[in-house]
Amino acid sequence: MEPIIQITDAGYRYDSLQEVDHSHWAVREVNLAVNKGEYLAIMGPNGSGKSTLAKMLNALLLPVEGRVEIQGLDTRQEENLFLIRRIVGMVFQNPDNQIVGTTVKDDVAFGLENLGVPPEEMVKRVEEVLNQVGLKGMEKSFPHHLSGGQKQRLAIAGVIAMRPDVIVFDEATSMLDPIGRDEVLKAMKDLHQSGITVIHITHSIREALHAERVVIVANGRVERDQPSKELFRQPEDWAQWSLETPLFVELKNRLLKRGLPVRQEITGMEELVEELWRLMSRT
Amino acid sequence: MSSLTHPVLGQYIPGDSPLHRMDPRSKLVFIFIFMMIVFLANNAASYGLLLGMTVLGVQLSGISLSIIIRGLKPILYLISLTAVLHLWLTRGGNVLLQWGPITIYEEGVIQAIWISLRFLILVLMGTLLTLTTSPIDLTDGLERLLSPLSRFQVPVHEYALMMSISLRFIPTLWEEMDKIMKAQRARGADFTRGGLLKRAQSYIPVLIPLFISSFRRAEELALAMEARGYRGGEGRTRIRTLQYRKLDVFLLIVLGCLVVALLWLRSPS
Amino acid sequence: MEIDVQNVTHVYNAGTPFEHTALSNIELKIDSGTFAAMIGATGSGKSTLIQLISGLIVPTSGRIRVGDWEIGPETKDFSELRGRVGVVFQYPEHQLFEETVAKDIAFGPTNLGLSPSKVKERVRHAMEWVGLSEKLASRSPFHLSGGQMRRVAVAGVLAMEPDILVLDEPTAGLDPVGQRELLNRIRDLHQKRRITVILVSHSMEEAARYADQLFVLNRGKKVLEGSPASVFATGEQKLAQWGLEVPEAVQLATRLNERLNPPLANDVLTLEDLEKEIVARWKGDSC
Repeated sequence: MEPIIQITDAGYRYDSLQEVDHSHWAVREVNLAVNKGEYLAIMGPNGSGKSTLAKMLNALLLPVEGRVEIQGLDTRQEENLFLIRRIVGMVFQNPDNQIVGTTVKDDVAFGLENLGVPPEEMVKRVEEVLNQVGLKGMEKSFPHHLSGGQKQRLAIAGVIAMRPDVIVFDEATSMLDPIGRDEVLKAMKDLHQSGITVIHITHSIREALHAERVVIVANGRVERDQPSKELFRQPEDWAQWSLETPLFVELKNRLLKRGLPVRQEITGMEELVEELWRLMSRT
Repeated sequence: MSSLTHPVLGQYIPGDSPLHRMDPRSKLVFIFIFMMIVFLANNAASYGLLLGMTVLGVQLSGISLSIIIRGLKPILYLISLTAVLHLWLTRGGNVLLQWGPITIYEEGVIQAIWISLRFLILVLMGTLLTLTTSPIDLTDGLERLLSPLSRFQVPVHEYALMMSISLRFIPTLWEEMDKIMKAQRARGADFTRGGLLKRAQSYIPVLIPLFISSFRRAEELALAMEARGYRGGEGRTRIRTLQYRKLDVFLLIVLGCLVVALLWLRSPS
Repeated sequence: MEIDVQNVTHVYNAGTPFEHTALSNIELKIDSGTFAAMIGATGSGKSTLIQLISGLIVPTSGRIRVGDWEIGPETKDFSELRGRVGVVFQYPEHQLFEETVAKDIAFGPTNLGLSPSKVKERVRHAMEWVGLSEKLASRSPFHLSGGQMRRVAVAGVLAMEPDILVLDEPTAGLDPVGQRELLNRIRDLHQKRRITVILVSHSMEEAARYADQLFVLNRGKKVLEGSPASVFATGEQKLAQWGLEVPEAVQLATRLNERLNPPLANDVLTLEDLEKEIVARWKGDSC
């Protein structure tokens, strides 16, 4: 399959004004290919460089070393920028700080206005995408009257109206309550099913498991890159990356330590329940 | 939750009256010309005509008189003050009243009435504009009207965008300020005690965090706008299309007739 | 300090088209020295309730008793309440404003009118409680990491040495290690100094691990209260209707108990409980 995003030996360094000598690499030697139609999670703790990596995917940040190519377009080439941003849309962390429009309708239209879409076509597309994210009938609502989840769905609508091939969710669920988070996760799943490439940046293993493939980033480097199903095949020290160990993994490890003959390769809660029941009913 | 919901002078009230439906551009042009021609009036007939127009406007707006009057209250003081000053200072005509050092002339009474009337008419018309036009539409109308200026390097689009982003963020920042004030009050801050200086100082713990967060918001918003393909006003289309309708043509005809009528009614000075 | 909320209703923007009833007829009692958790989805009214308890707003009707202090619709002066109830708001690092960490933490105690030497002592203690190194005292709070800024903000509230500490989503945005550490420190403080803690949280995991008493709010009404075990016994479906999730450990125990006969001997709230119960059962079974 043809990768839609190709990252080769990419690195990024923030030049801190205060500590010129200590400017450090936020991302270093990253190699990553994202295929068209994939649902990928990039997971890492705070400060791991995952958000920097996310912003390199649509040329908001340009690699200091190496290359990032979107459908073969090099992000460092100024003339590619506009096209790249049509291909890769982005939903950010803070729901408030990405809404430009004074009403829901105006905000969805913002990207389309930038693209120069004719007004009649815009009206049609706005209606269509608001339907798609479940905000139908709220065209005239003011952004500050929306819930966190609704604001993020509005942001998603604004992005999909531009018909991108890839949508990057840069920690888009981290400021939401559980209801809002589920709304956004469902939207991601729907987008993936409609053929859009979804890249979810998160620090939550539970959320990353919704994806087909998980890339773990720590200290600016890619530490793991594997199908999510295989994430728990090998014993892994999640704490080394300051990631929260899933409860079933932690429980399994603790029970093993206490001498219970639990199977090592357990990949989910249901499976562990099954295993425990089997163990306990054997006697 | 914002507590800024009580009616303020000229705060937009949604509706579907003929005034609401007019194009913001024609309303703006009307008000602009109206403000100038008000000064043409100098007798009962011409003031009567202007007042009639204003009352008709209020009628057409479909907004209840009580809301308009409530909004006018602070202005009424200003109007009365101007009236009193004119009563007192204008000389000419017969002396109507003499009481101690105060002499009131006929001319003073007439001036006071005309000036307050003019003031009232101007404020009412201005209020009608903002009551029936949302700030977004106003910004939009202004942008389109002024767009020819962009040929002379005036960044009309940028100003308009700044306006509309401010409108978008006022409620957000208001809520944030409320939250920060509560947090600092919980830490013992008192915003009500002391003299003016002390009170102003007590706001520092609110304003600094508010500034910092506004900068952060601005930075993130700029990034979000860039990500959505924003690259200035060039080549942009707009979802809000403004269209002159019959109503607007009618308004401009009325304006023309008004100018002619005022010139005709004007008594030679 | 005991808290007694008596038939409290709170309406925002009463008499306008934006009228909104945030709380209706709330009755609840929190004994002195309790670690209570207020849980509910966004819009359940929990944030209004803690603002009422902290004396930041007054109820539309009803009364709130905090110790021997009473708040009603007519209350105007809250100065006595300041310092007794400390509130850590959501993302509290957004309220930092001073040039140095120490100065920012000193803001609250200084407002209480304490002497400079006393304030200094309070600042030192507060920094110790939240685990901030003394070296940071003279640094600008704005040059610290997110997690450190959060601790400075919490220290700023603790420095007032409140009898009641209210925390609104104190762990939002922190990584798992930071979350655990902050709440562990709060719990230590609760145990050592016997302060009453009210934790507002979306996370049932946190509520299960730290609180002894839970209050569940939904659309401005109190729908449930009791020990964590009794609240979770209400069942996943019912809680999901209120926008809440049962902690994973409880979920796992429930699934296991559905199959085991007899079920696990004791209530399970946390991972540690689960481990203990399963090991006990296994050992009991095998000998």
